[in-house]
Amino acid sequence: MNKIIHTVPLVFFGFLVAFLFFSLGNKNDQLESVLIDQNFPNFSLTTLEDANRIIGKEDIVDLPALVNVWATWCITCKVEHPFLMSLKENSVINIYGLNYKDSRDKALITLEQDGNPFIYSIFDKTGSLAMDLGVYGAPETFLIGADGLIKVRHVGALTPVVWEKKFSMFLK
Amino acid sequence: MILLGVAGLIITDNEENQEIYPFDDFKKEVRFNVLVKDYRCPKCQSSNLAGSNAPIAKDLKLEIYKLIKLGKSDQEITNFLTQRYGDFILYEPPFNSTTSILWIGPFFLLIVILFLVSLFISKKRKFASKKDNLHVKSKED
Repeated sequence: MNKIIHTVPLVFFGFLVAFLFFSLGNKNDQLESVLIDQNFPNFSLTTLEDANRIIGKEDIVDLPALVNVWATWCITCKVEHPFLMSLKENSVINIYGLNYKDSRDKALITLEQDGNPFIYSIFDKTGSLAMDLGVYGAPETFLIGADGLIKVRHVGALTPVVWEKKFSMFLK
Repeated sequence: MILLGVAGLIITDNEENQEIYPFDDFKKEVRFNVLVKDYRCPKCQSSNLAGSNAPIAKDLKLEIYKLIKLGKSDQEITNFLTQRYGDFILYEPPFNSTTSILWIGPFFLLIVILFLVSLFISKKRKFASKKDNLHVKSKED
């Protein structure tokens, strides 16, 4: 009986160490989106391409579609750009851009130079739509399902691996 | 006395905020300074909004400022933020079925440890008194 009481704290401590050790590698700085299975938020903003064209949520059509949060000041966005281009060129899925707290001029120049994977970009100068989406940086990518609900929110670059694991199952 | 000290802390370490987030109503200013400490910066996640210069932290502080000026209550502001960023944005996690382990765990652990320690001490006492008995026995012989 004595022996059992003496080993219990040690065993417990062992489990604690193991748990904490494995948790060290669990680098989870991706916030869980609370908008999953909810409607895309309403908004009223201009497009990047046309300062006179005001659009809203009803202008995100031909679902399922991606909404990609990007900006010219975002370096990782340049990393994922080729993959977005390949999605467009292979007609995999419609992509709408959400230009986040950026300069309209710089953004247009960048798209011209690097290529434009977006049907159009929403010009979110103040980040108000982004805040309603729970965005906290760029890049981020949302998938809006065929039913009009947000299905996925990915923080960080969209890569082939991420696409396969998180997004591809929502295609029609 | 303590209350004055705490009030002093809230007033003095936010002079910077007064420039960017001016309030006419002092009560609202105090609320603002308290609230920005209660919410986590979503980007630099071990920091609260008050202690962060990340762009999203600045945006959220500005939003909280606007909401306070609009007359929203603390609960309404919390709802606004958690509807967009989830419970994670609360520096102090809410108490529900998921987080109950987090809240109660340490106390539970303390009780278990105290119990084991008391067992250990009582065993030592029993052993010590056994030794005494043997000692007395031999003397009697």
